[in-house]
Amino acid sequence: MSLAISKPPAHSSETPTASGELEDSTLIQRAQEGDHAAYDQLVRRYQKGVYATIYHMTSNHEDASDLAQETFIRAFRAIGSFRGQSLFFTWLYRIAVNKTLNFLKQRSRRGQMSLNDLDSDLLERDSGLGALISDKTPRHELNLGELQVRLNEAMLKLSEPHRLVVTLHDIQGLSHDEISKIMDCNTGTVRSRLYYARQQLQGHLAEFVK
Amino acid sequence: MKTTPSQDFQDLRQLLAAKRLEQPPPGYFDHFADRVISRLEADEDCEASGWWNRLMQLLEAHPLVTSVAGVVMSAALLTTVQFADTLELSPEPRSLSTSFSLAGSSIKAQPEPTRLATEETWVTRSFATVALTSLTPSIRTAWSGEPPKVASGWSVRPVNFTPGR
Repeated sequence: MSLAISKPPAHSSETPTASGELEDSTLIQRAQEGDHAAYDQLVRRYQKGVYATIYHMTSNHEDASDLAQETFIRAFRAIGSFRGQSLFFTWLYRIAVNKTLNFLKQRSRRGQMSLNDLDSDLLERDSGLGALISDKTPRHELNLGELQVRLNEAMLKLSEPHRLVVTLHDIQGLSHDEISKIMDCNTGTVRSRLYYARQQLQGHLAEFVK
Repeated sequence: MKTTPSQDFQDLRQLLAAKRLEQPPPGYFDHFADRVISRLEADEDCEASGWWNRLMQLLEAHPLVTSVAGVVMSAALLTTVQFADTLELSPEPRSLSTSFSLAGSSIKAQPEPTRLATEETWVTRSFATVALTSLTPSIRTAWSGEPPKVASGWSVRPVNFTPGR
C-alpha cells in the first residue's frame, strides 16, 4: 500500500458512485448538519492523501499522525463555511498544508524518520525504481531504507514552499493547477518553485542522479 | 542536443518515487477515522461542560486564585452555618419573653428549653414554648399539674411559670 495518491478521489455530483459510495457533496451536506457517520466516510476517503502530504513535509510519523487528526477535526469544525466553491479535497488539503507549515515554523526540524515500514510488494512491482537504485547507486550495498533517509534529508534541506510543491507534484501526483489552488498562488509560481526545488534536490542527490 | 528540464529531472522524479513506499505502521488507517470521530465527540462533550473545565484550568494555573477561592468558600460555609444556627435558636427567647396580661395580672413565661433526649444535642426544642404559644391564656393558667405524656424520646418539664403579682 502506498501513501501516495495519484489523483484525489474528487466526487462532484450528488448521485452515488458506481461502487455505491455517496458523493462528496452529499456527505458534506450531512456533515454540515452534524452527521458524524457521514464525516467518517469523508475521513476514510481522504485520510491517506492528507497523512502522506503531512508526512512528506515533516518526515515524522507521530507528527504526521497528530497533524492529520487535527486537520480533520479542524475541517469538521469549519465545514459549515464550506460553500463548494472549490473541490473538497482542495479545501481540505489547504487546511492540512497550513497546519503543517505552522507546525514547522513553531518547531525545529527533526531528522527522525519512519522508514522501517517499506512496501516491498510495491517495490517489486516498480521495476523501474529497483533498476534505478541498483544502476545509479554508486554504493551497491545501499538499501532502500538508506536511500529514503537520504531522500528525506535532501527534502528537509528545501524551504517549506519548495518541499511542498515537490511533495504534492512529484510524490502525490497532483497537477500544477490543483497545487496552485491549495497553495493559493498561480500556476506559474508553482512551476518555478518546482523547477527550483528539483534543481536543489538534484544537487543534494547528485550521487544518485546523473 | 540539449535536453529539456523535464528530461533532466526524470531520474530525480523516479528517485522520489521511493518516498511513496514509506508508510505508517500496518493497520494505522484502519482506525484513523474512528480516532478522529472519537476526538470530535470528546470535544463536543467537553464543550458541554466547558465552564467547569475552564474553572478547573483557571484554578490549576493560578494557585493564588485557588487560595482566594478556598478562603471565600470557607467563609461562605461558616457564615451559612452561623446563620442557620441563629435561625434555629432565635425564636425561642423571643417567644419566651412574651408577656401578656390576663385578668389584671401579667404572666411572664421564661421556660427552660427542653432538649431532645437523644444524642442530637445540637437540636434544641422548647416544647413548652410551643405548647404555651399554642394554648389560650385561660388554659395556660389552668395548667398547673403534671405535664402531659408525650412520645418517647422527649421529656417535658414544667416551665418556670411565675405569675406576676
